[in-house]
Order: sequence, then C-alpha cells, then structure tokens
Amino acid sequence: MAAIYSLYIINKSGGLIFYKVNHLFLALHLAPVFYDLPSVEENDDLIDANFAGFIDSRRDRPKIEALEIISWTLIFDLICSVVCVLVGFGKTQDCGTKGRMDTNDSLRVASLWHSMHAISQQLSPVNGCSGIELLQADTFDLHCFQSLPGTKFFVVCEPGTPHMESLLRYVYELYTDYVLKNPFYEIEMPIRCELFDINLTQAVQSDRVALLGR
Amino acid sequence: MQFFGGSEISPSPPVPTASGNNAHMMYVFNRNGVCLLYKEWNRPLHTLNPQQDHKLMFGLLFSLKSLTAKMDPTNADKGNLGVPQLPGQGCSFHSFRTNTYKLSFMETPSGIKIILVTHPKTGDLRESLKYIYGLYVEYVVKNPIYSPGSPIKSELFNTAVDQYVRSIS
Repeated sequence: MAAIYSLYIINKSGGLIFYKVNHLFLALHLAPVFYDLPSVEENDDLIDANFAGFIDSRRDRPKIEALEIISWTLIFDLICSVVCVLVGFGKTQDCGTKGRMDTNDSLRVASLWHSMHAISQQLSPVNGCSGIELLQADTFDLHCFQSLPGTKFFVVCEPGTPHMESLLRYVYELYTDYVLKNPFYEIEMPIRCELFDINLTQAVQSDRVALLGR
Repeated sequence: MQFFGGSEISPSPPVPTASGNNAHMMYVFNRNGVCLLYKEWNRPLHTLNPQQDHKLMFGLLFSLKSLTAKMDPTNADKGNLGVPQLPGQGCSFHSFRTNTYKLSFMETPSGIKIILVTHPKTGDLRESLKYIYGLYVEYVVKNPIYSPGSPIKSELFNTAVDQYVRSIS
C-alpha cells in the first residue's frame, strides 16, 4: 500500500477545498497504540489494502484481531461521515479521532501552509523561487505542487515514499477533469464531486502509484 | 531522537555529500530569536533589509515547527497550533526544498537554531549541522569573553565555519 497519510487541496486564497485522510493506513499505523499489536514496520504484509491477503501468518495472534480493528475503524468512520454529511460538512471527513485532525485544525493547517509557502519565496537567495516543494520532517514528508493559477496540492506521506511528484501531477489532472470541467462546481469552493473522489482513491493505492513512477 | 554522540567536536568533519554546489547563506539564532550569526557566500537577491530578513526567517521556522508538530500523523496527542514548542518536543522538520534553494535546519536542546541555505540538489546536511554546532560549542560557548545572547564576533569561529562550509559546497 502506498504510504500516504493524507492529501490536501488549497485554493489560491489559501482556503482548504479538499482534505482526504488515508484511513486504512492510519488505522494500521495507530493500531499498535490501541491494541497490543507488533508495530507496523515489523510486518510489511500488514501494509496492504487487500483484506484477503494481508494477515501475516507468521504472527501467532488470532487472525481476527487486525480485521476487527480495521472493520471497526471503517464502521466508525462510515458513521462519522454519515453524521458529517447529515450535519452538512460534505467533504471534510474526519471527526477528531486520535491521529487525525478535526475540521478546524485542518483548515488552520492549510492556511498556515499557504502563508509559509509564500514566505519561503521571499527568503530565496536567487530569483525565480516558486515556493516549497518538499518538506522533510522526522516522521513524515510533505510534497507540494502548485499549479499555474495558484492552487496547491500537497500530500503527507511516510519519509522516503517515491513517486509523490507524479502522483500530485496526476491528482492535478483528475482535478481539472472531474472538478473544473464540472458545470455545477463553483470555483474556489469545497469540492463535492464523487467521480473525483473515486478516481483519487484508486490513484493512491499502491499499484497505481508505482505505475505513475514510470 | 538521540542528539549528542559525544562531547567534543568529532575528530573529522563529515565527508562532503555533493561537489560543486555552493552554499548561499547561514543563520544562527538563539531561543529568543536573536540572530547570533549571519554569513553570506552567494546571495544575488536581497528582498528585505537584514533585520526584517532575520525576523522573517525566525518566524518562518517557528511556524513550520508548529505546523509539523500538529501535522505529525504518528503522534496521537498534539498541542494546538501556535503554542510554542519546547526544543525536541513534537515532530520537527529538518529540511525543506524549493526549486531555487534548500534550507537545512537543526535545533539543539538549548534552543540554538542553525540554518544553512544551499543549492537545491544538496544531500542531507544534518551531520554537517551537528559539526557546525560542535564548532559553536568549542569556539563560542567556551569563550569566557562571550556573553550569551549577543551576536558572535569570534574570528576563530567565523574562519572555521567559513572553511568548513566551503569544503562541503
């Protein structure tokens, strides 16, 4: 599974218009915190989106545990997203559970990033700087792509994940195809396009990311 | 994350990672935001006057650290955005890259921040920054005449840093 934690899209004024968290990956990563499982790094097989083939048979724990966690997290998430949709939040799908940010925080983080991106251009020693493309921290990497009109796409992933730049360009293509060409979409507003969502989910799965790297 | 390997400057500086890349500039700040050292080797573009430039740089780093601590996906307990983080608390970034430069950052437990701005294709400079911190400890902190919190005027330190950074460029 591609080691992507989340994806953000910011409009040209710095407002967050799309935020997607990779629940499965986060659940797997945080499962050792809640349940006494070996850490994700020890068992690479765990990092696989397919339910069928992913339990590591070398582990001597009952197979049902990992499945249970994943399914409970997804059910909780489904309930949360249903509630969010009913209440009217639309695309921002998280409800403040551990390891994720709630809506307000994600909005703040997005606008903070927008400002940091702009300030980094001012501090450049040479002309022609277009802002931060890669931020490397201890536990994650952040790749950012800014399109010509100023829309920023950035992805938070595990350190050293390859092909993120091409993934971001692909997401930009999906954005132009499914969002901008949608006649009912208001520009600069939060994105509520199903086709975009579906294609995006497919794009962040591991086989697609590897293909993009060609 | 283990910061100190030993208490002296390591006997030999780290091997240069890339050849032919020039360092642009270097900043050293203390925990209060006072710029202790600013060295420039190659900076064709000056957008702001020096004081504003230092403040902007310090502010950028402060906000980026706050951002990375908040965005950390592996830490369930996060502070709020904007709350000053203690050195070493929360996830911190160690470098960022743009299309024209790469900024490498290191913060010590005492709050000293060392920033090196180089060519974008430079490799990981964390070991080099640790070495520069070693130079700072030897030539500046151990100097009885130096008063902490004031800009560094030590010739020995300046020369050593200059030589070292030119050797890794």
